[in-house]
Amino acid sequence: MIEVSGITFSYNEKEVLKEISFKIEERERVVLLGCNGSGKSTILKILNGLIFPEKGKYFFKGQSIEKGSFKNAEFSKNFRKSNVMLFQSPDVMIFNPTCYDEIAFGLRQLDLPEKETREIVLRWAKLLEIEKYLNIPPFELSGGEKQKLILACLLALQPEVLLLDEPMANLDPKSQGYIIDLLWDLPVTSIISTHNLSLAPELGERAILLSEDHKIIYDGAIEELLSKEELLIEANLIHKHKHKHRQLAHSHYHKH
Amino acid sequence: MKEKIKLGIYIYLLIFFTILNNPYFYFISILFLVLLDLKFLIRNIKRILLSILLFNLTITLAYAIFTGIKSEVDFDYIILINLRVFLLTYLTFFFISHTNLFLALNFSKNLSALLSIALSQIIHYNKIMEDMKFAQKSRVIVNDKKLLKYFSKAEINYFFTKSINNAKEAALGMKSRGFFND
Repeated sequence: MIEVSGITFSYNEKEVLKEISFKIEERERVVLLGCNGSGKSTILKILNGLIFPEKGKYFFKGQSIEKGSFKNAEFSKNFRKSNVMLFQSPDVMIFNPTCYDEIAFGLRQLDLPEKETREIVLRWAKLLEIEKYLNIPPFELSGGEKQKLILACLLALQPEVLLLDEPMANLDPKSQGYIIDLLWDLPVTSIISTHNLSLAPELGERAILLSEDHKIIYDGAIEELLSKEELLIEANLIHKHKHKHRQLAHSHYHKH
Repeated sequence: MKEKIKLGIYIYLLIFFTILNNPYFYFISILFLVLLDLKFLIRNIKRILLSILLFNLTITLAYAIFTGIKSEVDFDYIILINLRVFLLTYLTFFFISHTNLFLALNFSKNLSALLSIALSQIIHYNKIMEDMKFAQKSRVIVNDKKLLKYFSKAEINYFFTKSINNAKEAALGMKSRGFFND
């Protein structure tokens, strides 16, 4: 479904991705791991067709994705409907007067009858437990509620690929559990970025690990990665700190 | 010290060019600045022209219409005004890109703090603005100009609320670190 081959990307002459290659099959659940600044968000933006690599190729369903591809209205419509992304900060994705309009925003672009749009909006609002907010402005919601709202907006389109950039960052533990269960049951290909190792196994079966120098240093089963301490240290995902067990103080690496 | 000297020269030149009314001198000064760093010109010319476009266009058109009615259009004056604005803007961009502003302003606690706050807000807003554009692109399924109204309203609303909240937070942060007491 997704193939990325040797992509390189720079921001202001600073390389943030180096020779990145991977393939993702339909319905695969991939967790993109790496510390802050390793290039996770950049990969997701490339996969969502928002930015384009300087070197290398990106194929979506066998078609090469380039800037010019989006000049074709039909292609653009199909791509944007089937490949959706949740940004790290949900605030930047909100631009409608009410939560109802926010969820209906994508559906209305598809020219669905208002009755059908309403049914879909209500279904997703209920599933994400945000029905009571439907008539209020999204800006009044808390960070976690905004996150759920945007997820509802994206899922209402019934996408094939779900790109989530640190989706658990703003959520309380109860909401995190709820979203994990919801994502688990969705019939989609998902690529979820995080640097939270304790949550990672709940978000997918396969891990792609980025190093601090923006290269892939692991691509495989997530459980196996968690036992490779030296790789996690290299990626700056585990840290050492002092702590006490009763009177005994010692220091070792932590995965939480 | 070097950076403070640059700041002094910049302020002196700003005043000097503002008082002076000679388009030939303006032209030579621009040429001198261009020759000082040709790469700077290539990298920044678009930004400089965009930043003065609205102002210069409004002033030039208003002046041309007003004096045109009386059939007294003074083209020398129009050239003078446009060259002056261009020179002052070019000089400011040039100064900012060739000077470490933190070192230039470190003689004043207030100016340094003001610069830090302003820069951190600029960088933060720039990042948000960039992400907003990406998010809009990502959520637009069918290109429709009508959708622009949603985006502009949301952007204004977001940045207005965010600016007020950030200003309150920044003031609390400064107060907490003993910058002021009220």
